[in-house]
Amino acid sequence: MTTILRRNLTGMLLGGVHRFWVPASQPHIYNAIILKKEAATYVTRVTPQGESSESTQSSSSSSDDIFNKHSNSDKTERSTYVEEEVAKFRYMSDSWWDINGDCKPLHSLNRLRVSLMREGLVQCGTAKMEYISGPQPLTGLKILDVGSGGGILCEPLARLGAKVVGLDAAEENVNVAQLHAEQDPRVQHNVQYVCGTVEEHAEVTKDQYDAVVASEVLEHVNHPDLFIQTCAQIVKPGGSIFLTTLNKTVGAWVGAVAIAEYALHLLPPGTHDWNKFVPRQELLFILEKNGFVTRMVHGMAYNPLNNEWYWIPNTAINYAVHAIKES
Amino acid sequence: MLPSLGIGRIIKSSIRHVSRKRRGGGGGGVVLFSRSLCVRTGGDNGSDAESTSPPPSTAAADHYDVVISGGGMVGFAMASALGKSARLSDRRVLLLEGGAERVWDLSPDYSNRVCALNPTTQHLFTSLGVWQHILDMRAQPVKRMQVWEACSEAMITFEGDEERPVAHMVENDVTLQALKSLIPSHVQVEYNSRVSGYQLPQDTSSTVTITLQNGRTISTDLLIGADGVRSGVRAAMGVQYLGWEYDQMGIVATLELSEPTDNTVAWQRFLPTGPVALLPLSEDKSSLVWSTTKKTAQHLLSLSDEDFTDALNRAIWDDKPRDARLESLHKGWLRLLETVLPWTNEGVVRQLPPSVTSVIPSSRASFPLGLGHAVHYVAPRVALIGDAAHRIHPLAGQGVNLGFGDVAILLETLEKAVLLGADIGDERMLYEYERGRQRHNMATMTSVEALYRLYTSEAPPLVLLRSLGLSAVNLITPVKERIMSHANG
Ligand SMILES: Cc1cc2nc3c(=O)[nH]c(=O)nc-3n(C[C@H](O)[C@H](O)[C@H](O)COP(=O)(O)OP(=O)(O)OC[C@H]3O[C@@H](n4cnc5c(N)ncnc54)[C@H](O)[C@@H]3O)c2cc1C
Ligand SMILES: C[S@@+](CC[C@H](N)C(=O)[O-])C[C@H]1O[C@@H](n2cnc3c(N)ncnc32)[C@H](O)[C@@H]1O
Repeated sequence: MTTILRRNLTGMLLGGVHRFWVPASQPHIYNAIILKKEAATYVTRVTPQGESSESTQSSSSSSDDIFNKHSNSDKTERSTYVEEEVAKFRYMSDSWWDINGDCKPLHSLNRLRVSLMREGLVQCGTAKMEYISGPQPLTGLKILDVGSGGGILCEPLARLGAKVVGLDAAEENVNVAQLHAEQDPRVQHNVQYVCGTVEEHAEVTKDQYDAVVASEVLEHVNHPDLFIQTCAQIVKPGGSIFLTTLNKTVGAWVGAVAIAEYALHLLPPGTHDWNKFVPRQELLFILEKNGFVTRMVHGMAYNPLNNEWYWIPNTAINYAVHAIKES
Repeated sequence: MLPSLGIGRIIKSSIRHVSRKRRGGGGGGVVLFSRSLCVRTGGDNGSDAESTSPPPSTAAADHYDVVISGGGMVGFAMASALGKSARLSDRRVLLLEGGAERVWDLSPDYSNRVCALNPTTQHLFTSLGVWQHILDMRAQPVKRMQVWEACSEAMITFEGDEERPVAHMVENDVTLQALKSLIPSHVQVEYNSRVSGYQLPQDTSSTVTITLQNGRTISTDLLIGADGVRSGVRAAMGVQYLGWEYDQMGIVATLELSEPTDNTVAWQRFLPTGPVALLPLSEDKSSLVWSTTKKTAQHLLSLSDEDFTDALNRAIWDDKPRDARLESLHKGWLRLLETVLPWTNEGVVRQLPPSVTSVIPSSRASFPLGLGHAVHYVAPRVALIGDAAHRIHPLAGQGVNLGFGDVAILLETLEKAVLLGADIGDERMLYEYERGRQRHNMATMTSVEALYRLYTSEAPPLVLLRSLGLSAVNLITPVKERIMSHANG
């Protein structure tokens, strides 16, 4: 189920010039194409009451903007959406929450990224003083997780007290995330999953977020500049953006793609298109252009043998950024 | 989506009960009811396992964030720690104790159950705000500890001082009372609540279900087993438990001394049958812990108070036939104590122990002694603490202190889980507690066991050391050196 699209290694090495895909089973590739169409016109199906509803019209039935439905996004000319990238994650429904499965590294990455976000929000004064030493230090904050997948990062943030919106382009992921959230009341009451891209969400959301996070997403989108620009629109002045991503260097390819995907079978082959890795310098430049001041850049290293992540100074393979939108 | 937590839980649990019914299955042992719920039952000794019947599907399980099974000193310390933690202040905590609630008042008579609380425990209790309460009730500082040996001149001392005593002798009842009286009100304590069965999940996708002897069922996100040596939680986890009973009993009693003194020294003398310890309680009273063979213990328990007092004084004072060959072995052996009791032993002055005038009537009691260690302390949504996880010979007075150390580290682990936004029953978090504690507890247990083995073995030194194997010999370098030169010369 998880290795639907099996990329030819030669194609990979040619760096996308001769990329071609070998579908593991025919029907899925067609599904993927159909789903792409749906995703483009798709409207969130989750309402505050948790009832499913589908509509292609934007409506303002809900008082809380985060639950509002997305409007038809056809008018967005440039999109961050890449169907073949999103398709890689559509069929992972079984594995998002298998802590020993394909997403194992994402689960263990929580130690680093949750600490980074919690400490970052506390230290820059966004987290509310009266809560920071209590059981839910992020109480009262609104966080958007773009490309939330199965909700691996949304859940801990919700437990920390934040109101979290998990946004993902694949409806399948939104469903998995929603079902899983219902298992824990601490999560369920603080999280809402929405299907769509960040551009679509920016069009309908009235309010702004205290923080936007995109973790391991940037390397799957088109136009990272548009992605960041859109995030900038929906972050409050003084709010934070957190990004973790894989770097576009030879080191990244060898480290993340080759080792994780092929040698160790940690991720389904093809999960990372190394042409899409965003180099750190480029990312920092885009952030600056969009009014962000970078607060922290740190490298991360993964040891697949004990499934642990470490902070390292070297940002060649994986790195995390915390930037603040100028007030 | 369900409007409230309560209903969500009820529906979940009734679904589970339905699936139980559908699959049927009674009997003991391991029964799998669903993919994610591995049901094992285990009560005390595991003997209650057979009698556990499925809870009626109509009974709604109460849900608590944390349930502590067992209200001994360690269970109550855990309840206190959870209750005082700011990071866990929103969790509903329940402590279940099988026994009845005892009304207790500090009486002039000392209890015969006393523990030496070490500085680490003192530190924990200070942070929980209970230490001052203990001092206000009754505690005797131990400023010096002298350990010596019956068959040689070998002696070792451990020196503390006014500010940093080696330990404090505190009656178990005083410790319990201090912990109980300061339990925050949002922590619920229920007595007469004996657990008859636990259903443990295979992963965090379902919760723990606890069945009480009175038929009530409770569910929880995290079960903490503080139910002592014969832990039912441990049995339900099905973890391997390595251990054995010693051919020894521990006799405890409260002793009257011949004259009031400063009495801040703990005395322990090793006899071929085991160690005898006089631990200070007050100017003129001490507590006895006398470990000896089961046969000797039976005899000692049958004696009149006067004859028992004589036997005790002989055990402390009598010269045993000295064996020069044993001397060096004993010296090295005593040094091994330092690995367990990390205090400086600069004192070289041999002091004389007090003489005992009488044993307080009916204060004599005996306890079986043994060693035990659970191979795992944790499973998804479960953690063992205290004697439920490990049992140790009292010769170094570390038993309950190890348990309080578990409390401190488990608390730290759970607070860390909260800060990471993790489920507090997540075994990946709990595993950190296990890893940290096992390293520490195993080291202490190994040393205490080596001490015990080395001492009680009747083999001559050389044979003894050979049979202990190289690793144990390396532990006791000074002994090894002597033996080497002995063998070479
Ligand atoms: C002779 C002797 C001397 C000692 N001296 C020292 C010393 O000097 N220093 C030291 O540190 N340690 C000493 N110890 C060790 C110390 O007493 C123990 O380590 C300590 O009491 C263990 O506490 P606990 O809370 O883990 O277990 P316990 O005290 O055994 O408490 C377990 C509790 O769980 C309850 N329970 C069990 N099953 C159930 C159930 N199914 N449902 C509900 N409740 C249940 C029981 O009623 C009990 O209250 C000594 C031990 C002995 C025998
Ligand atoms: C590697 S996963 C990361 C999931 C999650 N952030 C985590 O770390 O656990 C990448 C996710 O981004 C989503 N995604 C890819 N492109 C997207 C886009 N343009 N807009 C929104 N989501 C997108 C995919 O569907 C996938 O779920």
